[in-house]
Amino acid sequence: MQEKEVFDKIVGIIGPFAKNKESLNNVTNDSNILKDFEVNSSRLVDIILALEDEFDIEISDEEAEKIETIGDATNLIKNKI
Amino acid sequence: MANNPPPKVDLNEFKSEIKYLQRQRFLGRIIFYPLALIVTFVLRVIFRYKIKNTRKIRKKYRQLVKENSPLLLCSNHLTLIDSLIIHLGMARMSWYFLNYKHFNWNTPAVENFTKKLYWRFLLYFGKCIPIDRFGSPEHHDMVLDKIKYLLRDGEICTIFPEGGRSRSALIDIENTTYGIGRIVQDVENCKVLCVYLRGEGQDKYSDYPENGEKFYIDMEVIKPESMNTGMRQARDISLQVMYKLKEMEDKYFQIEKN
Repeated sequence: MQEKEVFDKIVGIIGPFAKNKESLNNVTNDSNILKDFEVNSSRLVDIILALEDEFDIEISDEEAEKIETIGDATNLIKNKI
Repeated sequence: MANNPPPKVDLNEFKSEIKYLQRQRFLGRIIFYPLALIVTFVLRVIFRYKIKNTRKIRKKYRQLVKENSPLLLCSNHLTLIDSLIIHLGMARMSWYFLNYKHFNWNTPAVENFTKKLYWRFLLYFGKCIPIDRFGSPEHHDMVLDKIKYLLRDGEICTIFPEGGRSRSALIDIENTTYGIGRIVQDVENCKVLCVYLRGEGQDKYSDYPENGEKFYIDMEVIKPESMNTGMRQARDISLQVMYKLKEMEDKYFQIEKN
């Protein structure tokens, strides 16, 4: 799977959880999931589980805690698929 | 579910935090009776709060704590003093004095309580573990590990699973935090005491209930379980607690309607 495809799927998964919908128009690898998209921190778990389902991978608690930006998520997923 | 795994946080830091908790508990016990009398006076006499069906609730609570299994109290959340009202409803202060372990710990949000000195005083001596909701994952892990330690030690802890006062004044499943699930996962044989608290005139969230408010309290114990593991298990457990609270809320409105 191409990096762009992974990136788009991640953004698609985060979209429904983002309070700041406008920020979804300018997503980069440096976009911070909590700060830029204003995702409630409790919903990060839902995002991680949705990523696991989408890409058919397992993400450990330790790996999940390191995900702050879209780039972090993309790199982690790229290495697992 | 995992049986009593070690804390996730730095062990040395955790040990020093546990010493702090033990000291807090010791000092809290010494000052408990005069403090409890003042708080009860303020709530009962000055604010004229009343709680319905206390006899039934207190009997149920006394029976529950006799079972001696770790008990995590989860409640809906509408005002800043919900935990005080719950304390008041579940037992007499004299009973807490004799059964200090069953005077439960609470996890108030730091931003609401640390500005005024008397709140800080009450927090320290009233068995509270302040949580910075916007704090780091390490801070949240430390709070969860402290709660797990206390539950294993026979104490009862309160958590508001919505992570804050419900802005809709109804149980907000969308805002469920999964910390409860992580606690129940890691504390062997942990049960959850679901408590539904609501003032008759409480139609929106607020800092304090209206003077003269009459409170309804209902409680039910559940032992949430899930065949999943890890984060999915934590989510399943937390949602089971929230759906139970929602069911209790529906029951409250049904009673009100009739």
